[in-house]
Amino acid sequence: MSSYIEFQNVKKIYHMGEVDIEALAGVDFSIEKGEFVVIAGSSGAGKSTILNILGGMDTCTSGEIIVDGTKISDFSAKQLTTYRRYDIGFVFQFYNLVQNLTVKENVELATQICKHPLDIDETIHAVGLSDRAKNFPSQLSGGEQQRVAIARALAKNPKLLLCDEPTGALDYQTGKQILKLLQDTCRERSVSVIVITHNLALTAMGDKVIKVRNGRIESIEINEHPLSVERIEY
Amino acid sequence: MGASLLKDTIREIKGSFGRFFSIMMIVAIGVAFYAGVKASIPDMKHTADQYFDDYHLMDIRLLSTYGFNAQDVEAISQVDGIEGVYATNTVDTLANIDMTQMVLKVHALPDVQKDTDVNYINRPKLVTGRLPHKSGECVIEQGEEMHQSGLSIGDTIRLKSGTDTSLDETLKTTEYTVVGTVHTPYYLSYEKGSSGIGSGKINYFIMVPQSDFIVDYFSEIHVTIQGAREKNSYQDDYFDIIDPVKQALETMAKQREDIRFETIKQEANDTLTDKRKEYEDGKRTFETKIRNHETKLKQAYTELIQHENELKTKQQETFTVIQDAKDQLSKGREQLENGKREYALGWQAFQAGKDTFLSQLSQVDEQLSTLQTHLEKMEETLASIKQSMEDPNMDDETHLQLQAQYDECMENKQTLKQQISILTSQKEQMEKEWNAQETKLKETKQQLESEETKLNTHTQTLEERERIAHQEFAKAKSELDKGKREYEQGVIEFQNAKKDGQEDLDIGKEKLEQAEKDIQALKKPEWFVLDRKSHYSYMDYGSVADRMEGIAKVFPLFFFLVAALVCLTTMTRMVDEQRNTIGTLKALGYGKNAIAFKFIAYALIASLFGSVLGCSLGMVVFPTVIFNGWNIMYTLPPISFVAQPMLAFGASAIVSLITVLAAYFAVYKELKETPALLMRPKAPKAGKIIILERMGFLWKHLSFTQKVTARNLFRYKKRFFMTVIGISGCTALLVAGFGIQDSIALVVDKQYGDIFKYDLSLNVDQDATTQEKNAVLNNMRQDARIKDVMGITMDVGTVKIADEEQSVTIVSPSDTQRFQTFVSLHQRSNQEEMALNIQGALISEKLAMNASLSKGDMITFEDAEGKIHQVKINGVIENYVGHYIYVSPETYKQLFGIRQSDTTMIALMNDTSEKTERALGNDLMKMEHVTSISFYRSLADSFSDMISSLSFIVIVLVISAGLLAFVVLYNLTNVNVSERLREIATIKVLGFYDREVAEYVYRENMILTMIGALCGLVLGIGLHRLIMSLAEMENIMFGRNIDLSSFVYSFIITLGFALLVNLVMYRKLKKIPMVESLKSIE
Repeated sequence: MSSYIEFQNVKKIYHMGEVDIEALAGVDFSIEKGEFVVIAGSSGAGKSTILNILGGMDTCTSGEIIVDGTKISDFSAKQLTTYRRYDIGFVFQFYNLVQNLTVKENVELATQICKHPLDIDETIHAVGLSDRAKNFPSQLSGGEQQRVAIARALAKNPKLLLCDEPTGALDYQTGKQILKLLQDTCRERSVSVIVITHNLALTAMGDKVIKVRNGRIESIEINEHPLSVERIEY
Repeated sequence: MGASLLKDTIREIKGSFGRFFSIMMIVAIGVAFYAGVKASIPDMKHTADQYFDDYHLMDIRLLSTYGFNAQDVEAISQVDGIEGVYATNTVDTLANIDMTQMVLKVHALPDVQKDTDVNYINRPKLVTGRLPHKSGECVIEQGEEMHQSGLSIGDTIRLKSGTDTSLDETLKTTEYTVVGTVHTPYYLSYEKGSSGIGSGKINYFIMVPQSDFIVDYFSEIHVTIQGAREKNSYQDDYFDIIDPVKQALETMAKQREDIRFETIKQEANDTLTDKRKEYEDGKRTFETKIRNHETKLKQAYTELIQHENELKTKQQETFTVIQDAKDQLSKGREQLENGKREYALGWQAFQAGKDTFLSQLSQVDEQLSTLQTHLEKMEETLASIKQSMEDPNMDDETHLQLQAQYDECMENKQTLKQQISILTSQKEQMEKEWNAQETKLKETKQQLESEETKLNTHTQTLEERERIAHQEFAKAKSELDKGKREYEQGVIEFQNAKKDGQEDLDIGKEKLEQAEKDIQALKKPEWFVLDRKSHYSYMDYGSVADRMEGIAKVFPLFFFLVAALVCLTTMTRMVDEQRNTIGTLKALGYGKNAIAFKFIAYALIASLFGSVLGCSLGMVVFPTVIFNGWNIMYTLPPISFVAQPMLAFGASAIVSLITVLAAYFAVYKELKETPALLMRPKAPKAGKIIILERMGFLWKHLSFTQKVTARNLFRYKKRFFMTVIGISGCTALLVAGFGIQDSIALVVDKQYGDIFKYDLSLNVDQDATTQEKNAVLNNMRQDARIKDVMGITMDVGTVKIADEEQSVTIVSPSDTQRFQTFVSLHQRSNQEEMALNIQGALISEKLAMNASLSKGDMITFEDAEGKIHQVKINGVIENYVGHYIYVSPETYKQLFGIRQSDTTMIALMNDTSEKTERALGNDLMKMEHVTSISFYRSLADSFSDMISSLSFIVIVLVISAGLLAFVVLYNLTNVNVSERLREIATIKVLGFYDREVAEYVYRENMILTMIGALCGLVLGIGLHRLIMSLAEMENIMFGRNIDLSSFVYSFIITLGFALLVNLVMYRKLKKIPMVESLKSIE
């Protein structure tokens, strides 16, 4: 029986004019359902590419990607959209909230296209922003904005929550709060959460830590006893 | 400011070509419109001038109140600066073409047309066929679809005079064969001015050989001037050449006027003298004749009297004589009776005397016998004596005794014998006397008898004579009476003749006096030296070209505004994107200007490219389109362009300035900020609660994406305005384009449907009697194809408006009540029917508008005879084609002094199919005194043709509108997409399908488009008004209406453009890379 998510010899080659850049040079790994995975690596190692391909925002050049028994590496653009729509939740470094929408509306933006969304107010409450629901993003702090982004991703009730440097633009404390939120979500909702970071300190909190380097997997470590966020210092 | 900055700019252009393109395009459109419309003015004028030059249009046209003679022509050609002189004639004639009476202006061409001949002026441009070579040949103007003459080569035209003067006095022949069709620079349009004959409007011109004019003067002289052709006659330097020659001509004209005046005066005086002499002779002859006649009459009278007297005398005499004779006769008869009585007495006495006589006679006889016996005894004695004596023996004494006895016996015997003789003689005497007495008595009796016979004869004769005399006298008397009557007749005749003769003489005298007065009042001949400023076609076309100035003012303003907005939004967006770079550059120590340079250069380069594109396209396309548009009504050869570098440069400069300003304005704000601030991402424009949200009930009903759209709309005001203005401009152009068609279509529908309800109008001879006119009317009334008919008067006149004479039709119906069935006189505003009052007139709207008159004012007009009339305006009525003054018969009488008469019949038909019309027309034309027939359906058709040819304007406007919409929407979408790249990427990541993403973005576009389109509908009304007022001719009022369908079409087409842009942008949306968009910091 295969894993929940499986990457098999995934390659990604970018054609930049006459130069081919191999972003991923054959990547293999698997992720189980409900796992909190940290993908770590230095800038340009290919971790974002992995996330993008996994999240259906990009396609691989070759190799197979199977998510929950479906081979998404063969998906058309439209199938990928549908995949993103129902199965994936994204959290970005720069939140990417729609400036012109309130907190609640930003969450609504995601839920209105889902089949089984979570309750919006509950989700907002869960991220601790009940009293800011009617505020616009510009009225919120970075951490709050990131929480909105998480709420937006969660409200979709996705199979996978993909986070690309979620704390990159945040201060230490706020970052921690966000990580906590992600970890709690993972534990409470048994959603597979994949966090990308260049901060190796964070690897301690992952169930699985995948280290990437130069487009290849450097190591995959299973962390039997992941630390809770509070205990991590970075 | 180094090369690296320029390089950066060029790379920037390459990198954001869509943005660059949109600025370039809007600049191109703006410049194309501005330079194009502006250039069309000189281009039109240049083309016209070229046409004038190529066909040697006269520079100066001379007219004279007395015409010109050969000396005049000679004198003109002597004036300095004159190049060519062509003395010619024209005459207005009538001809029936296709049942309609047309006014044909006859112009002349030189008999031999040589291109090298400088005196060959106003050359026609041959379209088909050839020019006339000999008498009886003509060319006719080439009609276009709008204006078909219905004549083709080979057809014959029969010209008729429209005045009392026969055409034979002017033209050698009145029958012309069409040998070709032409255009002429002399008439650029179908408007050839008014005429004193026929309908009052010149329908066509024809050109015939000059030698066909047989008048001994020239009615006009055309002159070209040296060096004038090199100049554009619509420019001042042309007039710098013309004016001195014109002045010279004017000076010369003064002299010629004097010379001519003297000649004319002399001629007139000579004629007058001749006439006077003629009159005097006539008078003398008349008087002599009268005198003779009178004398003769007198003589006749005297003779008559004499005759009468003579007759009387003679009668008297005759009857006196007869009476005398009668008297004598009766006297004679008396005498006769007396004689008879006397005779009877004599006879009695004679009878009584007879016994006495017889006794006396017997006594005598006894005596005698006694005596005889005595004698015998004596004898015997004697004889015895003698015997005794004889006895010789006897003695002597016995002898002597015997002797003595013898002697005694002898003596006794003698005595006895004597006694017997006495007695015998006595007896004889007695018998004689008796017999004499008896004879006398017998004679007397005879005499008496003859006398009686004579008397009787005389009486008879006299009676006969008397009878004859009576008869003769009666005859003589009757003859005399006859003579008298004849004389009296003669007197009457004489008096009449005298009276008539006197009258003729009086008339002659009056004429003479009038002629004398005329000579005294003889005006100096006046020469009119008219340059092209007095030439209708030249001025008309010039003003048409100048009218484009109005459009050139409005359109570009609008496009420049849109260009500014497009540039502003684009540059703002670009500046936003380049914040970081700006910050970096600033941090590196570049000055504000150096940094601004990139943006300004960007805008400038876009503008320059756009300008070049706009100028090169616009200055060809727009002049061509505008020129060809006007050429529906004008007959100029194809457009020839004139280089207008200043305009191109100016337009480019203006638009470049605008874009550069917009760019500077966009970058200015950012430049003020510190590099540190600039290096950090710009705080995204904060979301705000919009008004709509405060209206909870409404907000709640909006779907989520609708809310998003609503917020966005209110967020970007610049874009909002740019789009609304741009799109409204697009819609406005469409509305105007469709509206033009509607308005012109309305002219047909309203004029020939709502206002003129009649289907045909028929003109009868002006000179026809009332009876004859009624006959025509009755004939029409009885025709089954005609529903109703009535007679009206239609007179032509002119109204002077701003020094320009505009022709007007004065209409007076015979029956104002029935007239309403045929023509609806109503106000446009409330459609209220207006009555023709006894006093005052109703005038057509355009006339009122042109003359700035309204209800209650007085309108002054001139009739065909040149008399001025004034009438009060009772109301202004809806009318589209032509100027009309409607008056009641009463007012007509008051105005003109003569009664309204039915010279035009207007009729409603039961069936207006072309077939029926043709048949009816043919039948009606056969009636006497019918001069022309017009069917209004055909008029409506020709108008419709004009509209269809106007559709190209609509095409141009639709294309312009499309371009505008495209540029604006493309720009809007482009800016929106690039600015909201993250947002779009986000929703894409969230799993929005492409269609949903597009909807998310486009909803905004569509709403803006709709708002713009709605604004455009309103704006379109204004634009439409402007264009209509510019395109309007002086005697046609176009409607100001736009059909609902046009609004709908415009709206739909605008949305269609928006959809098209969206479709183009859809690909771009699809291609937005999620990963990159989300990763980068703005």
